[in-house]
Amino acid sequence: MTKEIVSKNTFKNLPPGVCVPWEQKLKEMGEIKGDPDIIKKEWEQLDAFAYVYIWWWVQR
Amino acid sequence: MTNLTDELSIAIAELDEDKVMALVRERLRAGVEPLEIVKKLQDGMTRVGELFETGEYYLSELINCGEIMKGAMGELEPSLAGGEQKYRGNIVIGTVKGDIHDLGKNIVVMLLKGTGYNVIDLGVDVPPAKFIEAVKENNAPLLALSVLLTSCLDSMKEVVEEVKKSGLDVKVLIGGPIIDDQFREYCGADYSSNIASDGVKYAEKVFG
Amino acid sequence: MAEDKLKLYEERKKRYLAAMNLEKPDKVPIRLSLSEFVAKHAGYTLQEIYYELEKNIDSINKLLTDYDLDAITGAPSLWWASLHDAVGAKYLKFAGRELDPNTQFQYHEEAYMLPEDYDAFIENPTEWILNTFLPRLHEELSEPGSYRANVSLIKGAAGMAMQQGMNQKAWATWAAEYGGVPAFTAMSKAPFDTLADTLRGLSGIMLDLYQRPEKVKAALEVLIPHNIFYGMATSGGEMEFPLFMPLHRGSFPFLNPKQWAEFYWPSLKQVIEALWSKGKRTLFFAEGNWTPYLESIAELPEKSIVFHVDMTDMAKAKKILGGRFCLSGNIPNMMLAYGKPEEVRDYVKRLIDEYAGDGGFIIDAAAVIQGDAREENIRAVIEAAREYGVY
Ligand code: B12
Repeated sequence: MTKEIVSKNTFKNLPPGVCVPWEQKLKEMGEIKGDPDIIKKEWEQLDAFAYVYIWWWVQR
Repeated sequence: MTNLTDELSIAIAELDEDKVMALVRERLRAGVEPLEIVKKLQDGMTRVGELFETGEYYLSELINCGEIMKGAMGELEPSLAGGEQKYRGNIVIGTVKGDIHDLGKNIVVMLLKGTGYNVIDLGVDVPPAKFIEAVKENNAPLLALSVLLTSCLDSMKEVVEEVKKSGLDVKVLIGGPIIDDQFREYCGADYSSNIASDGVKYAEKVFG
Repeated sequence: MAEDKLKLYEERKKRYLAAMNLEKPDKVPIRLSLSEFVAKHAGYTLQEIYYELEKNIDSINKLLTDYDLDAITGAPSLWWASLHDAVGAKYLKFAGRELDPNTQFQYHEEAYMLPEDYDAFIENPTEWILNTFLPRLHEELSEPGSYRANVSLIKGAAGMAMQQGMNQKAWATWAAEYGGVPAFTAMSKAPFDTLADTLRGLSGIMLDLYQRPEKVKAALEVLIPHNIFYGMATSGGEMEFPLFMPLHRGSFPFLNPKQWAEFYWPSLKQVIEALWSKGKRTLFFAEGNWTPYLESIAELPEKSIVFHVDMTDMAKAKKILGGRFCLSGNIPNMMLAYGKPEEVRDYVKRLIDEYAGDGGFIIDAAAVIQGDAREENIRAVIEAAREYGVY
């Protein structure tokens, strides 16, 4: 039944609620001209939504 | 309670997988009848069932035992082919339509197999017609039904009614945690129980 | 909010919360764990409530119009079948598609996680679930990166958001128009159940206990913070009402006492304690029989759970847990389906006489109430509870 789908993890030991850590994204963004806290807060909120969606299929 | 003397029977009762596999291979090499080996395995399994009934073993041990048994049978299969196993009789079993719980039923199957019956396991969510067909096809004198959901009790009643209507000469045993005498009467079954080993008890009654 | 409904809401809420805090409310609160029964009562087929969110939600309006309940468990179907179709989820079968339009949905349990997946799971479960588990569970996602797979991810996430949004709106309506109070506002699981239910399946986990116990322990350890987080995330900040925790594989006779103490209990205890320290109580929905474990459960902080009795020995539960935690449940579902209203009344009266005396008690059925329960028996529960349940 289960097709072999093997993948290597991109991240290790992430805390719950995180799919792609802000620290990683921050590095990739380069210079931030305004308030980084606003961008961080929004990033993390949507990241947590994705997290809940993923885990929703397991926590049932 | 079964008193085990054979080393292989004891090994399976103690869930010692390595020892079971080693003994099975050793005996095959020594030329022991494969069916004789199966018999010893079954004795051990019966003991596991008893230990479950008395509360010493839990589901985890039962499932593990089932898995060890599977491994041992895999080892025996090539040599078993061709040999005729003698059964004490045919029993059809399944979980009724609408219900997919099968752990309890699987224990009953294991115990019946362990005591030498040929068990035709139809699985879960089985419609009445399939039960009847299997009873006919296998000429089975005993039909065992399992149910866990109260919402599927009527589906069980339906099977019993259809069986009785069909005029087949078969006794019906119903089982599950919520089954009691009152419900047996309501549904017109011959026997009822919520203990797995009662499957064997009633089978002895039917097959004498 | 209409004045009288607001008053009703506050009255019920006070009653329900008081019981959970081991106080004596004015009356014994009634919280019924109703599922498919609600559809039948509202005249919808199961296909309709599984597939159509509007009907799933609307069925509660009819329930609240007809029955006086202090707390309700929400729309009868937890799962939205259309969303399952959108991603091709293999785990559930629904009425109207694989099953007759009026049959209970079915689970199809399989080991979607394999023994060799443990390491990747332990390293980063979130990524492993998305990359490895979901493509096995969801047919539409079986070729990750393909057009179909990408579409299914959009639909799945959008579907969850839609369902959550509609439910949120529904709760506001039920409160405002019917004085309907939620029985719980979040959900999480015992770490062992997370691993044993959806991931490894029962046979898988049972073998793991013998063949790779260290991996199981490591996976449970990893799950603890996730299950705490998941509970808090699904609560959406609401802290007065409890979190729903349906408990499966910890009931008797699944694990032997040693396994229970080693694998089931420690991680579950940590989750419940952490939630409690954040102010969230757990509705410990103990499916099946938990009698042998009552002493361990009593170790939890006072009031941190509501202990729900299904087949657990009620007298023992009262003796060991009473005065520490609020108790609920125990009305046999068999009786609700096949018994007579008089029997039900007697049973409810006896429950109240024996167990509700000093407060800390909630009326409910033993298990989830499906379509087989009779209207007259549900009515009998409520009438008897109101008649005998005044403090
Ligand atoms: C495991 C489980 C599941 C697993 C099933 C896995 C499987 N492969 O079987 C999963 C997660 C898939 C599942 C699904 C559902 N379940 Co379920 N499940 C349970 C649970 C936790 C344990 C049942 C069990 O296996 N016990 C262990 C076995 C060994 O015991 P047993 O079945 O009683 O068998 C013993 C005896 O009864 C007897 N016996 C059994 N059959 C027979 C037959 C014969 C002939 C004889 C002689 C003896 C006999 O022998 C056995 C050994 O002594 C129970 C709660 C509980 N703890 O009891 C709920 C429970 C049965 N489930 C319930 C429900 C509602 C469901 C669902 C509808 C979804 C839901 N809301 O949870 C779906 C049903 C889907 C469907 N259409 O069937 C309810 C039923 C309520 C009711 N009104 O009837 C229960 C009681 C939980 C609850 N408190 O709400 N479930």
